[in-house]
Amino acid sequence: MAADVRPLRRRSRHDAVIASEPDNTLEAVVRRVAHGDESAFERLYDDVSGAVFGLIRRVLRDPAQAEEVTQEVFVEVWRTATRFDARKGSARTWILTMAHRRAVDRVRSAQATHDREDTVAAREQVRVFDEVAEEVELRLEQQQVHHCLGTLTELQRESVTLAFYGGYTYPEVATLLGAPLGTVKTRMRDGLIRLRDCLGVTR
Amino acid sequence: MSPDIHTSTGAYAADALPPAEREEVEQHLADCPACAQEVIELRAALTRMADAAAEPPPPALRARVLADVRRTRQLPPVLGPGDSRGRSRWWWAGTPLQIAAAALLIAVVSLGVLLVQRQHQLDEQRQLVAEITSVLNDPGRAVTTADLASGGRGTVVESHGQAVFLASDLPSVASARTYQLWVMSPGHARSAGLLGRGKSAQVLVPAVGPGDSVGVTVEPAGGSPQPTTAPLVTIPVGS
Repeated sequence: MAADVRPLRRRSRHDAVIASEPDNTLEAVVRRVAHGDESAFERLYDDVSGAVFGLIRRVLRDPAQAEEVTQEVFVEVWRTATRFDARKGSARTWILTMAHRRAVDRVRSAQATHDREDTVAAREQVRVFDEVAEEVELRLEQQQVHHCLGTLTELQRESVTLAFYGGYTYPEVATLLGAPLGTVKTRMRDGLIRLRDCLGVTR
Repeated sequence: MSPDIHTSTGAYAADALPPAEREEVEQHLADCPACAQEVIELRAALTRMADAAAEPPPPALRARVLADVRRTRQLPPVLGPGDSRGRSRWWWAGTPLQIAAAALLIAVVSLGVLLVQRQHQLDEQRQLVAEITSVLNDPGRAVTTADLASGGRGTVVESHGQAVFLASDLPSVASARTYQLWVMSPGHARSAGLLGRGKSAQVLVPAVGPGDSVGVTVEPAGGSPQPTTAPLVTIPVGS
């Protein structure tokens, strides 16, 4: 499970951030990491490594690769903590966005080196899709996320979970669902907006 | 720009756009604060989905990450609120002044390293830096960037049949291995040198032509006469 250091909601202008920031937020921890503070980094690791590893493993499936990518992500967090910008979202979102991006980059570069036209692979994708759908049902640890995903239409939910947990592009999702491209793209947005409103997240 | 670009924020936030569309949306976000805000909010929702997928990483990973971090230098901060982040992710896609400043930085770094070397090497390297600088400064240069399959990015800047290959964020390779650069034309590859052991590299690639690509492979230390592994990236020159 993810640990409990959640970014506090702030409405202050960015130039007031440092003064107003309580030092137990993940944002404050990142700021200390940016000063080269290794113990702050250990704290950050303990706070987000579960979510980072879990998300990457969900996308990549292979635990060994997931470990490798998780390691890359944390080194990148360390390297670029100096450039974290709280105006562009919370520290947790910054880190998990990086994790997801790295995971799908790994999926897609691996794909590019294989034969994309392979029909066996296409059948395999459908099988993986079934598994993902099942697993999402079984493994959602947070009741609220589970509940809120349940408020989405089926097409919205499948579009969002296949893209995010499955690491598929929206054209791939459209193929898997047998739905038109434009429909899948708008359902992804509509679904995420509904999820955002249901969860009450703003940053 | 496609009219439905506003509906792309969801797929963008979830990393579900093909590369060309991703690029287009990124450019749009720089000019559309409302869209950028929406992406921030949708990513916050996705963060909760990520939290819901959390599982404990293997315990041994922690020590490996901390050991890695202890030997990794952090990036300097970006200066000032008026910086150009968001507009362009690449300094070499910036104004001629930025290009010149970046080229100068490369020159200064290279020259700094070289001061301790012998004079004739210095002259040789000065010549090299001048050539790199002239490619980077050419207003007619063509710039292509791609990610390496193993991590890191490569950029090829081409001008008048010469190219400069720039690499950043390269993951380290085992000590018995090395990154090697190639000029690849159909059915043929010639070595353009080794990339060294740093996280970044700048290499002058002379005599490139239309249809050529620049590729990177991992080879046994010392390099190979021909590639022995699949390229981590191939970047077409001047496209």
